Formats: sequence, structure tokens, C-alpha cells
Amino acid sequence: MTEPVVPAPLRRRVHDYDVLVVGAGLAGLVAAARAAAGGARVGVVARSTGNTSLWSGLVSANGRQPRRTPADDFFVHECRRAGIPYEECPGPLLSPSGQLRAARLAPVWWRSAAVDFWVGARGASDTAPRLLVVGFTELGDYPAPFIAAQAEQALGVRIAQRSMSLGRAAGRGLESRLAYLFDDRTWFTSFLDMAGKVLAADASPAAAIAFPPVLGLFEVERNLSELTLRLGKPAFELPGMPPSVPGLRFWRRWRHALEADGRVTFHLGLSLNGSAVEGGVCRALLAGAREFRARVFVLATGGVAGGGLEVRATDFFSLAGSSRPEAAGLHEPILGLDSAGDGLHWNTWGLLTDAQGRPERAGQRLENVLVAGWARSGCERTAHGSIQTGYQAGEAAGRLAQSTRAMEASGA
Amino acid sequence: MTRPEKITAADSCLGCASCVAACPVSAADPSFAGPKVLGPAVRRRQTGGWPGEPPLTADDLDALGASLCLQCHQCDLACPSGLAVSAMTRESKALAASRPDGVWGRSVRRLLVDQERFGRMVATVRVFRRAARRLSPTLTSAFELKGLRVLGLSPSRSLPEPPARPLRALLRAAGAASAERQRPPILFYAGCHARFHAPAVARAAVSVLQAGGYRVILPAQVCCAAPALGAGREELAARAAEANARLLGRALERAGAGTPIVTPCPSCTLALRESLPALVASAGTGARELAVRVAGNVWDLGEFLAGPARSGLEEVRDRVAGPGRSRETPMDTPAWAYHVPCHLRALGVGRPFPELFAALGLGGGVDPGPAADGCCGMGGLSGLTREGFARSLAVGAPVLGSYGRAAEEAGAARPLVLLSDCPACRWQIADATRLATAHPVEFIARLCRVG
Repeated sequence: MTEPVVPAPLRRRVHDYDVLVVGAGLAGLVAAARAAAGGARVGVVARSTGNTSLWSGLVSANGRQPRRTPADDFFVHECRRAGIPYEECPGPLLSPSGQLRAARLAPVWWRSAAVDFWVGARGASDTAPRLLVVGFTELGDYPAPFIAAQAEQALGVRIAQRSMSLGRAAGRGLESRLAYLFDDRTWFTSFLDMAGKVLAADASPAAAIAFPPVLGLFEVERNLSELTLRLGKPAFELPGMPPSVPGLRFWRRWRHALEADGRVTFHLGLSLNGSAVEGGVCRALLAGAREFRARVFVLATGGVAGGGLEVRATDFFSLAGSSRPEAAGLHEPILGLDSAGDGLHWNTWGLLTDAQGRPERAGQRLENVLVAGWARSGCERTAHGSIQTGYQAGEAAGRLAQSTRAMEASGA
Repeated sequence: MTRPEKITAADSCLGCASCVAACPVSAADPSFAGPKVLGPAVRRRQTGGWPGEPPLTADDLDALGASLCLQCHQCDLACPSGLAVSAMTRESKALAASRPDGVWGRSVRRLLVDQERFGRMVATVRVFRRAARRLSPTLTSAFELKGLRVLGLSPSRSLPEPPARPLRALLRAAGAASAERQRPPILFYAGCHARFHAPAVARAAVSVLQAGGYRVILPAQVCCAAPALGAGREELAARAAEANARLLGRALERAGAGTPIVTPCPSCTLALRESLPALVASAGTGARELAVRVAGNVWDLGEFLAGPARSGLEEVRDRVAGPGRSRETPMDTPAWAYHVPCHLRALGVGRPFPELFAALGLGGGVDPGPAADGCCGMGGLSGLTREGFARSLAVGAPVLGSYGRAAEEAGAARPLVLLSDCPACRWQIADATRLATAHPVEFIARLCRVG
């Protein structure tokens, strides 16, 4: 029998992967899924859910409608696999402030949220309200009267609104508390009865009913179809303010799907604080006494709000006066990668990369590191941008890991 | 370049409420103020509120529900700024717990929170309890129920069977002490549950470690103080930490620097790795260095078995499977579902046991769905009390519901066994769903035909 393995005294705990993704937000999850689909052994190190808990759940591209890409196809496929099917939006939706919002991909149970669906529907008379916006009085961040008034102005049609109380169980109206209640079948049944009574009068002339986006973490599809049945009108959710339940739905389902069948191993709650780089190749990233080695690294660490980039400028004026990221002290804390940006367009500030997403460190290109998501200077600050760059990085990482493995095998 | 691992300054809090969204208690209990308030917001107030705004008192914090925090660390995992939110909330809990209690309440709660003392008391009446159960099971359970009520525990909880033999005797029988001297040593930190209430888990763990080629030593040890920390009893936790640093430090010296200290309970791992150095911080540099050295050698059992011990276990498995046969799942292995304890998630080591199961060819795993990726609600000992029982079921409802449904789907034909490293999770899920439970190492022991 071979000698049992004894970890050397105080040696770092080593984790070894083909592809290591840093960050578990949208770009990180898509990159990890794509790399795993290419056959790589994938690990994800992340502090948290990234920006997904602040994400509305809609994939949009700043109002543009670019052509569908393989990344979109992959995203839709993986969403279905994770049990949270997304599809192309038939048209613009209403935003949380009652404005029109063009989105590309949305969950299938928001199909009837498309404005054309219910604005276009002709009632018996033109003055009938097209939509009933329902608010919950405990949910302070979702003012139904305001949303309805804004939507009326934006669309030029009548929008009705009604606020209902969810009772003492709702407590302070935390989004996660309400989602918990909506996942409880017993509580939902009593809500359904209450909604049936309170909303019947307002629902009958309208073409559709919009609810706040808190109708359950796991039971939303079922809840919406039961509401549709009871009220006799298509029911959907309007995207809302963070913390966003639709974003959490996505994250919980994707994380579970990737983890449950062993495609990806997650190491959450870790902050990387060091690296080992030799001659243009990153050997490992360090989190305290833990070492993460990989053939290829994907940095999907997010922008300044996501914690991936830090700014040393300590007051607004020094930041506002900086026309270049370096002058503002923008820096990336794990590898010290070089940054780039277009003058005062802060939305373009991020890490400098080539077209494939490879960054530079003090002018030297790193061969086995790829940047995805909002950390990247060239990435559009939308969910669309995260998905496109995450897919690109995951695909490239998988291929590079494969060729590295082949080289190692032949070299050895 | 390096940065501190976890940022503790409350000023880094963005107020994004991601911690609140991830908190299982906030979702289930509207009277709980939540991690954002009890952590960074309280810390800011205590260290510098507006002029004329006094710091919050123990009563204020209790009114905010500080005692309801289960210290599950899910807030830490959700914070995009990497703040140790649960550590800040722990300070609020400690202040709230300092409220004066009635003499009776104080001594009863202290008994439960001091698992070392409680465990030793239970151990002294072990033989008596077993005899009483054999003589008259009904009378004994009635008496024990009465005892539970007196202690403030919920009578709806099942009680573990008093073990047939104490831990040291069981390990002697497993041949722990007699293993060859030249094998590399392991210090086994059993944890209070295994030491006093369910030594079979420790026995399985030790047998598996021995099969992997190691020599297992059971050093002198005391409770890791996770229950004390969860209840806000910082001084008790500090005393336990100092004792463990001393005892385990001495054992390390004798066994050799770098000897792994392996524990089967993730809560113990977390307490020894993270809380031990922090609690001993005030005791002088020598003690602090010792604590850091001890903490640096602590391994979670799954982490160790799936890591350094993996190749040894794969060899054992191949031997058991026989020449030419692949590592098929034995016919008599029940279907299983694995529950990730919150504290294991907090360790950031992935899911070592399912990884090891895959490597050893153990099939039959059932996926309970994404709603099971959460807190079972027990919160260590918090769910044992009368007030805590119903609350724990509410907090764990999404998780417990998933396992209940999985149990129904599995049906009577192929009963499902729930595997989890944490004894509190096993207890909660067993009480809520009536599923049979086991520590995953017990499956490994069966698979490798040891113990």
C-alpha cells in the first residue's frame, strides 16, 4: 500500500482545478457553466452572490436589441436545465418606476409582462384600465400609486392601482420575508382567497395584473398561474428594487444545478488576498492559508460596487477631476492588473484586456488569465454584457485548459 | 500583495441588505431585526452615534431580537464587501445576553450552554439511564420528559439513546491505541456530541482514518464552545478556547508540529479555526501564537478524507470491491441525500463528502432540489428550547419541506437516509421528517468494510 499522505506542517491547503473562476455573479456563473460544458474541472471562489441579489432578473442591453448569439443560446439552455426557464422578450416591459424598458431575455412566467400584450388588448371601451398594478402596503419600496401614475404618463393609457395589506405575518415587509410567505402553500392559499375578494372589482376591467416581484423564491411560477386562474386575468410581476427576489431565484437555482451534479465546486465566503505569478503565467491565487491552483483563471469579480475594483481617491472632487483610472487610483487587489477607461466615462473604467479578455499586469500580458463581466473595461454594464463576456471567457478557458493539459501530458 | 481576509470595519457596509436577503431567521421571524441592523448598524451606533445619542443597552438589543441570531454565517457568505457580519452580530448577542436573569434561569441556561459540564453530567448517569430504559421504557421516558421541561427544553424533541459504551472504550475496541507507531499520527477532536451522546460516529470516523493508514490519537479536549458563542456567553467561550489551546497545543508538541487535528463536526472546525485565535487574543502573545498554531492544523473530517486521505481510501475501496470489479455501489446501500450544514458552507471548503462519495463510486444520491440548500433551522442548541422549537421549524421550513417531499417520493420501497456532518442538523431533520439520519463517514465506513 502506498504511504498515506501527510500534509506538510502548516502547508497551505491546496485546491487544484482546470479552470478557477473568481466571482459567483452572473458573469462568473456563466463562465463556470461554459467551462464545465467544455469538460474542464471547474472551481468557483467567491465572496457572495455578486450583484445578482441586486439584479432585476431581466437581461437587457441598454435598450438595444442585438442579434442573438451562442452565448444567449447557452444561457437559455442552462436556465432551463436549472429549472428557471428564460426566453426572448416579445417586447418592452414596464420598469419599477413605470417607464418602458426594453429587455432581451426574461423568465417565461413574465411572458404577459410585455407591454404590447396588455396595452394592445382592446376592452369593451377605450377608457378601461389596461393594467391593474397591485402593491402590498408592507412593501415600502414598491409604491403602486406612483408606478401606475408614471406608467399612465409613459404609455398614454389608463392604469389602475390597488394596495392590499398582507397582514401581521408580513412584519416589516422585507422582500425575503414576503418571498418566504409566498413559498408557504398554506399561507398562499389564504392570500389567494384574500386577493380574490380584494382585487375582483379592479381586476375585471383590466387586461392584466402586475404584482410586486416577491411572489416566492421557488413557487413563483405556480403562484402566478393560480393567481391568473383565480382572478381571470394574466398575472405577472414587475421588476423591483433591490434586494431582488428574482435575482436570488436565479442564483439559488443556478448554483444548485451546477453543484448538485458535480459540474462545479463552490468555495463561498472567501476573499482572495494574494497571488503567485511567474513570467506571465498565474500559478495560484491565495485566500489566507488556502491556495487555489489552476491551469486557467477567470476573473469575474465585478466593478467597484461588486468589490472587484477599488478606488483610492478618497473624496468626490479628486475622483471627479481624474480623467484616467490610474489617476483616481483605480486598482484591482488580487493580481494588480492594469486598468483602462475612456476619460470621464466612468462606466467604461475597468481592467484593460485584449479582444479575448486577457489582461495585463505592469504592461505584461498574462497568458492564462481571462477577465469577464463588469471588471472588464470593454464590458457593457448590463446583464447582457456579463453573459456575453462570461460565455467568451468560459469557452476560451475550457479550450486553454484542455490544450495545457495536453501539453503537460506530452511534455511529461 | 495582501489584504486582510475579512473586513470587519462597519464602515464598509453599503447597506445593500444582501445579508438580510440571505438570512433564514429574517425570512421566518418578523420580530428579528436582521443582520444589517444587529451587525454593522449597531456597531456604528455603539462606536460613535450622533451627539446626544447614547449607545444601545442590553435591553435595546434584546428588543431587536439579538438572541434570535443562529450564527449560521449565511450573512457573511452574502456580503459583497466581505464583511464578517455574523461576528458583529455576535457582539450584539453578547451584550444582550448580559441582561440579569433569575437565579434559576441563569443556572439552567448556563448548564445547556456549557456542553462540557452538561455532557459530563449525562455521562455519569449513562449506565443508570440504560438500565432504567430496559426496566421500564415508559416510566423512563416520562421521567426524562419531566427533566426536559425542567431544563426548559421542548418535550417535542427526541432524546438520543444513552450510548452502550463511552468513547474511549469504543475507540480501544476499534484498536485505536494499538496502531503501529510508525504510521503518521492524527489528533482526533471528537466534539461533545460524539464524546457524550453518540460515540458511534467517532468510532466510524476513527476506523476510516485508520483504514486510510493513519494512527489516531484522542487527545485531552474540552467543548469547542460553539454553543456558548451562539448564546452570547463570551467569557465561557474564552475559557474553553484557552483550555483547548493549551491541551491541543501540548498534544501537538508530543505528536509533532503539523499533525492534523481532525474533527467530524463542522461547527467544531469553525470554532477551532476562527474563534479560537480570536478568543485567546487577550491572553498574551505566547498563548496567542499557540492558539494560531493549533487553529492552523485543524481540518474538517470531510476536507481531510477527500483531500490528503483520498488516495488511501480509494485503495481500500478497490481492495474491498475485489480484483477486476469497478467500484460499484453495494446492493444494500440505501438511497441518500446529503445536507450541507451552514457551518460547513461557512468554511469555504466546498462539499467534500459528496466529492469523496463520487470518487469511491457510491451511487444512490438523491437531489432534494434547490430549496434544501439552506439552514435546517436548528442553530446548534437553539432549537432545543421550548421557545426555540417552533421557531426552528419555521426557520428551516423550506429545507425541511424539501427533505419531507424527498422522503415521500422515495417511498417505503427504498427508504432515504439523510446524511449530514452536523449532529444538530441531523437531529432537526430527523425530528421534522422522521427520516433516518447518519454522518456521511458512517457510509464511508460501511463502503470500506471497516468499523
